[in-house]
Order: sequence, then structure tokens, then C-alpha cells
Amino acid sequence: MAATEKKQAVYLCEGCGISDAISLDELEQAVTGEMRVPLCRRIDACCGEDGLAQIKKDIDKGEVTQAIIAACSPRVMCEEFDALGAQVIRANLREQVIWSQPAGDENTQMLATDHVRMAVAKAAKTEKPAAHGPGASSMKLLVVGGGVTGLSAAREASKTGADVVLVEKTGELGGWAGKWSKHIPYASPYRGLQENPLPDLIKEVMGDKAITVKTNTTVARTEGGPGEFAVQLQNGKGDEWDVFGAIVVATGWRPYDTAKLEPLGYGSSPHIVTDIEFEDILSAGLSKKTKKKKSLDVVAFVIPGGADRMPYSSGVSDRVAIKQALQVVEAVPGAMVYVIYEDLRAHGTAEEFYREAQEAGVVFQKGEVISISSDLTVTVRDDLLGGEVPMSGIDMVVISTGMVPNSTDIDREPSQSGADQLKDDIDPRVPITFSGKLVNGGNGAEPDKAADDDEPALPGGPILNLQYRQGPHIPILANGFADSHYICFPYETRRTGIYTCGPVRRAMTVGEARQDAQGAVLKAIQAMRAADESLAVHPRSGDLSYPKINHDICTKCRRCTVECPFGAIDEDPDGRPHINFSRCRRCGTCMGACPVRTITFDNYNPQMVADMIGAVEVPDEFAEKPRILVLACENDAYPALDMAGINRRQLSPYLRIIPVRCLGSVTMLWISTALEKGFDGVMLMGCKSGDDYQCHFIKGSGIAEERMSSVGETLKSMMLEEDRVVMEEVSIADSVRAPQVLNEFADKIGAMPPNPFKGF
Amino acid sequence: MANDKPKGGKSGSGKTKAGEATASDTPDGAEDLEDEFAAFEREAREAAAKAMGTMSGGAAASAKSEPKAETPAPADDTASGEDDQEDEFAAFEREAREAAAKAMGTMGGGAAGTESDAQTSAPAGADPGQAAAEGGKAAVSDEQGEAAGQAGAEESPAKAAATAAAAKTVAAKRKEIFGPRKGIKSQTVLVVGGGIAGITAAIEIAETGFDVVLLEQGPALGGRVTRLNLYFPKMCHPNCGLEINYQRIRNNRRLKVMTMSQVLSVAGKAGDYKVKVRTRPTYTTRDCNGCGECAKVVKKKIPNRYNYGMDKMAAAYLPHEHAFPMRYVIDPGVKGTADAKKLEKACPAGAIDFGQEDEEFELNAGAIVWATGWRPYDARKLEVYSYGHSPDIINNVEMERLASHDGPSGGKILRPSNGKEVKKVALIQCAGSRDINHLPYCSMICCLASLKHAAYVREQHGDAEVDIYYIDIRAHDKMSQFYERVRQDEKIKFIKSKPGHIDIGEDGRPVLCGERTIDREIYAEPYDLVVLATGMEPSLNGSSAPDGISRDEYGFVVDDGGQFSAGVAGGPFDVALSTQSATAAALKAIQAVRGGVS
Ligand SMILES: Cc1cc2nc3c(=O)[nH]c(=O)nc-3n(C[C@H](O)[C@H](O)[C@H](O)COP(=O)(O)OP(=O)(O)OC[C@H]3O[C@@H](n4cnc5c(N)ncnc54)[C@H](O)[C@@H]3O)c2cc1C
Ligand code: SF4
Ligand code: SF4
Repeated sequence: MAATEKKQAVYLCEGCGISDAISLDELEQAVTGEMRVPLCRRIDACCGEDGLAQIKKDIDKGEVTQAIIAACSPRVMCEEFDALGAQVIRANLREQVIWSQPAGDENTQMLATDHVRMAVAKAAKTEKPAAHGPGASSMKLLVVGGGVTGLSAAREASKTGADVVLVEKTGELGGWAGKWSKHIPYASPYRGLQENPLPDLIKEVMGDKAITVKTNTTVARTEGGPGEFAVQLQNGKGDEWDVFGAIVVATGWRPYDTAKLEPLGYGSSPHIVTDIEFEDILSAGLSKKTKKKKSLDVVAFVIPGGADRMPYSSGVSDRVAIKQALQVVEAVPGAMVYVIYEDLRAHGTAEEFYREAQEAGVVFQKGEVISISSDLTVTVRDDLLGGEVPMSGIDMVVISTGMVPNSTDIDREPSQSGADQLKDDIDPRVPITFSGKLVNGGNGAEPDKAADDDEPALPGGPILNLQYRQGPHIPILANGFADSHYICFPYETRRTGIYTCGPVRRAMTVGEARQDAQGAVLKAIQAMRAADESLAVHPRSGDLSYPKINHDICTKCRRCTVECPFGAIDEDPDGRPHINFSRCRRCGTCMGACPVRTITFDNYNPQMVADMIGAVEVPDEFAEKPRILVLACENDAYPALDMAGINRRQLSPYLRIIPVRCLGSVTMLWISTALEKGFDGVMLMGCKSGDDYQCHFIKGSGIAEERMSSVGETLKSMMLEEDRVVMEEVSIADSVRAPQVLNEFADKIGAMPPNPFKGF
Repeated sequence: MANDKPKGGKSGSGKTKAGEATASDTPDGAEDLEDEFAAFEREAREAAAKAMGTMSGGAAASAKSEPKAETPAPADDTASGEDDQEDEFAAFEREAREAAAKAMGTMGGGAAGTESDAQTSAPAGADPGQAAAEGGKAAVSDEQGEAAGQAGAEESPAKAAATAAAAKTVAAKRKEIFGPRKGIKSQTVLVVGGGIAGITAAIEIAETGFDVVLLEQGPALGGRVTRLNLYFPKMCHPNCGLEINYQRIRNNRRLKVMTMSQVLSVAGKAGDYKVKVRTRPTYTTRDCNGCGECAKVVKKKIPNRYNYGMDKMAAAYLPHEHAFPMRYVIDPGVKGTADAKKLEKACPAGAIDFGQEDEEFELNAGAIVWATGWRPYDARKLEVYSYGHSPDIINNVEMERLASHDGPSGGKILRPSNGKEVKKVALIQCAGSRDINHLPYCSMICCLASLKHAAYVREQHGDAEVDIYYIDIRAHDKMSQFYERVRQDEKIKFIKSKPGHIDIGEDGRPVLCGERTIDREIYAEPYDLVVLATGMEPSLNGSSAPDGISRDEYGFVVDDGGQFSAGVAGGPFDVALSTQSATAAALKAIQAVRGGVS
């Protein structure tokens, strides 16, 4: 890597109006003069064919190892400049200088020069990253759960060339779906009761040489990371271990607690059953049942709504009710079948299945069911008459229940650290939150956080029993689903190399779960490859850089192990941080956490940004030119500012904007450097934090907020105004708002006396 | 251990109560955050100086020493013997050696940390399996693991053996999963359609190590979601995920994007498709750097497609502010006019070329993913709803533009007819969907989109009323919480009814006429704005979709072993389900270019 000597050159782009808006003569003088970069070329258009060729020539001749390109935003022309072969450092003179500043102005020139100074300072402290190695120790997949999702996952992985070990807790494969006598259609023509696909699927799996099935087996503990998960299995056959490249969790669901249906009337008669219990009756054969016990001439399916509406089931239960209603109609000639619902959620192509049931004579009746009595009278609220209407003469009532995700193993005792983890993380008892401000009438207030009682957040112990410093569970969201919080990235579990699928992730039907298994397997295989090649996975996919700790300096304060949003850092028995590289997503939160700044990346480190800040020329207090440091999240705030530039929205010329990997990577050193250097204000711009986070590294912006909460006090003690250092939440769509926020802040800072540390 | 465990940084409550934070979030009770800031002055200089002192040999030195520093166990020679360019066999050997080394506990680095393993690897319970088999409560908490670990400090021989065994297979497996395969003509996957589904499928394939070409017929990626304001249920911005995806594309050399390109025909079979493609001109070359001079001089105005024609824009344009690739497009109508000359002169990069013609060429692909998405169902076909007869009757995609900061009204939801504030808004569900004369299926997203639209209106206009006319509110799985949330707003009313028709009242306002399903009441209600919740129709319908794609009765693509669907091309999905199906399609396509089912 760095054994070779650095040879820098600055390329000043004359294109896109840059040479009209600023004096490149002056800039060139500054580069070769004060910045001491020997080689500075002015290029007609750096990104053009001739321009690229000119730069490449320098590089190929061995004259340049670091090309500092002062042109457009680092968000454009990446492929072109990457292909040059040297390490490329960009100075954003276009979007964030000439497009957002008046041409020919003294301040614009100062801003442009500072951008190049920062780029040159950055070059001195950045290296092309090299892989950490040594690669994966296993390319085998572990699938946990032998229901339809797990079986599908195992087959799909095997079809892609991977070996699989499938563990199933019970003695049998097939899970719940294996028990259903008929299945919901999910492919064209989207109607007709389907045969159970499980027997064939199980046969395929059992006949597949690449798949090892272990029934009566669970995972006792999981160590390591992607490419090297060491997993201890638990099946009474002694100490059994295996090593896996990645893990797919398909532990499915369990029925909703029927006790919660008792107020509705469940339990008062043997003929009031849940939809799951009714499956048994259907499997046993309806005709037999009708002969022996009671007629099934009138059957009512009740899909509770309102307060009883269950997030666990919406959409699935409705389709199950349609299926079962059709089965009754088919098996019992002349039967009257009612489905009583508030909203019939036969969404998507399931509309056709709904239509089929209507054609078959099933009566769908909208209404809120208030009670079901032991004599099977169903009372429905009637909005037309304003009263309650009893329906009697029913032989059997089937109540839709719900699917509670098995994101924990309820047959295991909850552990203290597991309970702590679940509560400290996004508490699964808290309902999904949405931008609260959107509904401003009525009681649109944020839902209360569940009481912080001593009860564990979820029953049961961990499924994988991860030996991670941050706790044994896979992180869990609202209602216990082990799902991603991102709409765009459905497989983000916050534990690298571990992917959930099927009803443990979201309520879904068999057809949907089989597709979900394919998605999870793709991600698992991708994670194994990334681990093998030392590459980061989403969102910094392909990044080779990784955090390094100098253990001679580390004080074992453990902040990095606590704050890593992905649980990538463990502690060794001596209390020293141990980074599991293949778990790491390269956000830099650990770097921002470290009080002695001894966590660094080859191409991103505390000293690098501190030097960039130090490189800015700060005019003295009489110049009336304040300087404001802006540390902007490179994923959202920075692009929003680029877009402001594209729209030619003007920014205060006093801002000095530096993109950061994530606000979580911001170290207090940068703020102190800025203040000591004489900057008059500092603004951190990052993504929404909290339960409804938008931060691509989950907790980065939240952690920054916490770190910042004490800054004001300290500023006061330094006799500086508290509001010189602030943090703002900015989204990528804020191309209008972000410049406003910055300009207002600049005005405010401008109105304050200059930073007294200027010139020291 | 558990008791002195430092509390994790609460990602939860974004807001931190200052005092509390200090108490609960500082890893070491002794230090508080006050120190942290004070520390920076002293520590920063000292530690940094020290760090520079010990590490300044450059990253090379520190990198080399790093693995050693990570684990106390002395690194075996084997670790440094690795070479990037080693061949398959050498790699195999290397792994075997490493595994053996790991098994013996002599190697550190990336391994699961041999030292701590040795400390903690003893099984938790005396007979852990038995409990599970008996269905009793098995206690395998980490605490127990640690406690047990303290007792027996031996490295488990079973684990060592497993590690060694796994390592032996790595090279072979690497080759089997990722290496080239014989007998397959093309191992490239073609993804057609650059919306969120196509982008996702293409990236997931490329990041798994296979070559992809992503074709998009328009000038920029992103598809329909770039024209949405916010996503339900999180109310977050579509560009947020797209930006990450564009970064992933920029950083991946296996993925090639071709815009302005459409598939003309497909021939062949899985593993060997020949695809004819036509690329239309943008009249700008790759020298266009997005400076926008052309847009300043062009006179011609055209309907703004990005805003569904709700306003006009210059005929030389950037598709939108977040366009990827960021390159201007010149409308074909400019060619040959006086504007054309002006443009050529104005472009400082000389990037305008009216000599460009349609180009046709052939691509080879082993598998094809159709991610061609959808178009809003044409509301003019619903004649009774008078779409097109009043500017105040719009469809739901237009509503998204009205609410967007870069939409025709700068994000203000105002009456399109007169720019006045909206006080009363009607949202009509199932406009075209669930109707055998139009779209027989339920489009799945329009209920949720309308809930979102109600929220848009309510956020902007504190006293506006929103009436939602619906058959069923289909809020599937976790969306039901979103529904519950919106229902709490008493100014949002849910009226079960499918309106019969819309009249234009004397004051020009649209008047909704129909009968309520529940109380049979007849209504004729005037509104300031009516939004038709039109559904999604597969974009391959009614277009010149190439032959040879299996499609169902609605026009959705059906997988056939070599061609697959992702996103709404395969069914009416929201974004979460589209990206899920795209990830699944990525796997299926990879399987297909690997020779299919084994
Ligand atoms: C009003 C409304 C609001 C919505 N709001 C939300 C929401 O808040 N949250 C949510 O999750 N979902 C929402 N949706 C659904 C969401 O828009 C879709 O799930 C999403 O757009 C699907 O993406 P796609 O990639 O499948 O399709 P598209 O976005 O349509 O992308 C398809 C791409 O393929 C291109 N293409 C088409 N044909 C060809 C061809 N022959 N050759 C080459 N390229 C081609 C198109 O130009 C386009 O770029 C909403 C839908 C509507 C109608
Ligand atoms: S905090 Fe971020 S960079 Fe540090 S180890 Fe964790 S994932 Fe990696
Ligand atoms: S989602 Fe709602 S509005 Fe759309 S078709 Fe389905 S039921 Fe109708």
C-alpha cells in the first residue's frame, strides 16, 4: 500500500463555467505555491476524452499516484475517474462553489481555494485501502427452520451451488404449511384451491445431496461472522459444531394467543374455533365431522377488525378465510357460508380468489363483530339501523387469529443480556412509528413508548444465541418481526450475513414466503462472497477499507464495542476491542466513538478530516468573514446540497462543507479543531434518528446526537455561545430546505461576535 | 458480566434527556460526556501525536502489524504467505493450511477469535440437546455459556474438526458457486427496466459476482418512484434509497447501465438469448457534464413528463434534480429548428450532436429479468369520473407531484384550477381496479397511497377535510398500523361507497354523486379537489412488448426458467415487495446462467 511514495498532482477543470467564475490563475499559484503541490495542470474538461487522457498520461508515466481533481461533485463521473488507476481525490468546485456562489466574487475565490486546500490535505492522509483478508473459512449455508420457507431456502441455495445444513427444532419437516389440507393460489389463474406443495418439497430436499437435514436440532450458540460463523448445534448428540459462510433464519410463526380472543367469545363453545383449529377439522375431512357431531350447514368466518385487528395477520387471515370458506362450500353441499369482516384484505391478485368465493356462493358481509355467544349467536354492529344485529342458527364460528413471529425461541428462557438488548434497541413492543407530524388533527400524537417495566420485551430466548458483544438476538422490530426497517432494502437485519425470511420477517402466505426465501438466499450467498473477498456489503458495498485499532493506544473504554450499530466489535477476555471485519459495514461510528482516536481507516480517519479543517484559511476577526464548518452526511445531506447547486440555489460563502461517511463517524476532535482554528460555527447535517430512523447506518445519527448533547455545556464553560455548534436533521429531498437552514445558521453566526480563538 | 454491561447507545429515543444520557449511555460510569469534550483538547493532541508517532510509518506498517495486534496468538507464517493472484489450487491449499492453523489455535485475524473461543466454547448445558428434544425449557443464554466457559477452558475438539473440515471445501465451493461454468453461452444477465425493481435486481446480481446489463428506456434511472413524494408507511423519501443504489452502481464494474434503450425482440433460450435493442438519441454526447447552459437558451417548451404534464419545461432538460446519469436530454422536436443552432452554440462542452440516430444492436444474455413496471391506469377510461373535464379532478400519481418539493407547485397542495387552498378533498378508491371491465385485480398500493395522500393534505392544511370513498381499505400486514394511525385523525372520514359519477358544479367544483353502501344515503358532495386512486397496469400491456415473454391474463410476466419478473412487471406490489421480488429474481437469474436447476 503506502510503501510507495505519494506523488500528487492537482488538476483544475476549466469546464462547466469554472474558469469563468473563478480565477484559475490565482488558484494555480496557490496550489504550486502555498500548497506545495509541484504538479498543477489546467484541463479543458477533466471528464472529457482529452482531459482524461491527459491525466492518465501523468499517471501512466508514474508521475502521479494521487490525482486531486478540482472539478465536479464526487457524486458524478466516478467511473471515468476511477478508471484512471490512481487514487482520486475530488474537490467539488462545481456544485458547491460556482453553482451556488456568485461568479467573480472574492468570497467565491476564497471558497474554491479552500476546497482545493482541503483536498490536498486529505490526499496527505489517505491511502488506497487494501483488503484485510484472509477470506472465508466456509461457503456453506445454515438454514434455521424446516418449514416451507426454510425448505425452500435450502433448495434454492443448493440449486445455486452451495452446501446447506438445515436445522429443524421438531422431529418433522414441513412446519404449519405442511398441515394444511389445501393451499391458497398464488400464481395465474389466481383461483382454485391448491394441493399442498410440501410433500414434494420435502422429497426434493431429502433427495438433495447438498442438503444435510438435522431434525430435533437447534442452534446452541453462534460465533464469528460472515464467512466464518462457528455454530454449535444442540440435539443431544454431544458437542457438535459446524462452520458456515452465512445464515438464513426461517423460524416462521406461532398462533396468536387465543386468550386474547376470549372477550369476543372464544372458549365459550367447542364450536367456536380459530382458523388454525379449523384446519385440523378440514384435514380430518368435513363430511365425517358433519355426520358424527354437528351439522356444518351454516358456518360463519369472523375476521376481527377495529381494536382486535391484528398486525400479525392482516391480509393473510383474510385469504385463509376465503380458502376455508371455499373448502366448506365444496365439501358440504348446500352449506351457507358467511365471512364477516370490516375490510376484506384480498389485496393484489388475491382479488380473483375473493371473486371465486363470491361466485361459489360465500356471503361476504361487512360489519364489526361485537360478540359471539356460547349458543353461536354472532352479534354484529349495524350502521344502517344504528343498533346491534344478532345472527343465529350458526353451526360453527371460525375466528381469524394471527401469526406471531418466532423471532425468539419461546422454549428457551430469556437471558438478561437478551432482554437488555431488546429493550435498548428498537423496543419490539413499540408500534411502528410514522412521521408523527403528518396527521395533525385529532389525536395524532406519537404513540407512547411501551412502559419500561421489568417484563422482557419478548418471551423466550435467542434463536442463534449470537456471541456478540451487543447481545444474543437478531434485532427485532415492532410486534416482534425480525424485519428490515428500510422499505428499499428488505433484507437488512442489522447483523451482517444473517438474513431472515418468511413469516418471522413479515406476515405472509406460502407463495410469498417461498419467494422471500429466494431473496434471503441471494443475500446470504452475496455475503459469503463479500466476506471471502474482504468487501463490505450494503450500503458501502465493495468498500475495502476497514477500521484498524492501535491497541497500544486503546484505553479499553469499550465505547466502540457499545456503539457499533452492527455489533461488529466484541471484547476479548482482556477487555480489548476485537473487530470482526466481515460483520463491519464501514460506517466509522467506532471511529467517532473512540476518545483517543485510535480507530482509523486507510482512507478516512480522524487526522485526515482534522487536517482538512486545519487547511482552511480563516480570516482574522476584522475581516468580517466568518467561517462555518459543515459536516454533512455523504448519503443524504451532501447530495441534497449538490441538488441545491444543480438548481443554482445560493449558499452563504462562509460555509466549508466536508462530507462524512455517517454522522456517527464524527469525532469531537473535528469540532475542537474547528473552534481552535477560529471557525465561528459548526453544523452537523444528518439523517433522522430514533425508532423511525433514516440513517443508513441505523444508529449513526442518533449516536451523534447523543454525543452532541453535552457540547453546549462545554462551549459555555469555554465562554463560547452554546449555539455555535448545532446539529440539523436533513433528508435527501431537502434541496430547497437545506440551503435555507445553512444560510439562516450563517446569518446567526454572522450576527455573533467572532470566535475569540481566531488567530491563536 | 451481565450486570456491569454498559448500556447500548439507544438508537431509540432520538431525543436525549441530557442528564440521563450521561448516566446511562456512558460506557464507563466513571467518565462522563463532560470529560469527553474536555478530553478532546488534551487527548486529541496527545493521542494523535502518539498515534502518529507509533503509526506514522504509514498505513503499510500499521496494516501489517494489525492482525498481530488483534489477537495475542502469534500469527502463523501461513497468513503472510497469501497472494491475491494465487490460482485455485494454491488457494485451496492455503485454506486448508489456514484451517488447520485455526483449528490448532495458532492463528488469529479474521477467525472467530481463537482465544475467546477457547474460553467460552464449552456447551452450555450438560446435555443441551436433551432439553430441546423433550420440548422443555432449554436455557442456552450467553451468560450460562460464559459461566460454563470459565469452568472448562479447553477448545472443543468438535469445533476444531468442523473448522478444518469446512475450510477444506472452501476452494471447491467458491468455484462451484462463483466460478465459470462450461457449456453456457452467456453468463450475463439482462435486466430490462431501471425502476426500483430493476435497479435492485441488477445491483444484487452484480454484487454477487455476475455480469449485468441494465436497460432503461428513459433517460434516467429510478422509474416511477422518483416521481413519488414520500413512501408509505414510513413517510420517507424515495431518493434516499435510490442514492445508495446509485452509489452501489458507481462502485461496481460488473454492472453496465444503458439508458434510452428498449428491447425489440428476444430469441433463444435460457443460457443463450439474443436480444435486439434499440437506443434512441438524447442528442447529447457523453461529454455533457450537466452544466445546463442549453436549457437556458432553448425557446421551445414541452410538457414536463416528470410532472405528468402538469406544467411545461424547456425542451433541453435534465430529467430531474436527482437524475442518474446526470445528463441533459434534448427533445427530438428541437432538431432542425432555429433552437437547434442556438443550442449547439451555447453548449460549452460541445456535447450536442443532432446527427445522432436510433441505433440497433444485439446483446447476448443467459437470463433476462423483466422489471418494466407499470403505468397508472388511464383515468379517461373511467368516463363517469370526468377526468380531464376539470383540472381539479386528478389521479393519484399527479397528487404525488403536487406534494413534492420539486413538483409543479413547489410542494403546495393547491387547487390546480385556481391555485387556491384546498379545504375539502375527496379520494376515490379502486378507480379502475377491482373491476372486470378495467383492472380485474386489486392494485394493492392505492389504498395505502390514499392514506398517505390524506396525510399530505392534513399536514399542509390544518382545517382541511378529507373524505375517502372506498370498498375495503386493504392495509396488508404491518400497513394496518399505518391505517390505524391515519384513522385517528377525525378530519379524515372513511365513507364506504363507490361513487357513481362526478358532475362539475356551477361554481366549477367537482361534485361527487352516489349512494353510501351502509346507510343507503344518496349524496352529491362538492369538493375542491378529487383524487382518483388509479391502479397500476403492467407497462408491457398495450405497448409493443416483444414476443416470447410468458405473461398471465393481466399482462404480468410469469417466470419460465430463463426469463423472470421483478417488481410490478410481475404483479401489483409496493416498493418493499418489489425489492423483495427483485432480490428473488436476482437469485433465479443467477441460477439460470449457471445452467439451471441441478
Ligand atoms: C400513487 C401511487 C403512490 C405510491 N406510493 C407508494 C409508496 O408510498 N410506497 C410504496 O412502497 N409503493 C408505492 N407505490 C407503488 C410503487 O410506485 C411501485 O411499487 C414501484 O414503482 C414499482 O417499481 P418498478 O421498478 O417495478 O416499476 P417502475 O417504477 O414502473 O419502473 C419500471 C422502469 O422500466 C422502464 N421500462 C418500462 N418498459 C421498458 C422497456 N420495454 N424497456 C426498457 N425499459 C422499460 C420504465 O421506464 C421504468 O423506468 C405507489 C403507487 C402509486 C400509483
Ligand atoms: S462501527 Fe461501523 S465501522 Fe466500526 S466496526 Fe461497527 S460497522 Fe464497522
Ligand atoms: S388497494 Fe385499495 S384502492 Fe387499490 S384496488 Fe385495492 S382495494 Fe382498491
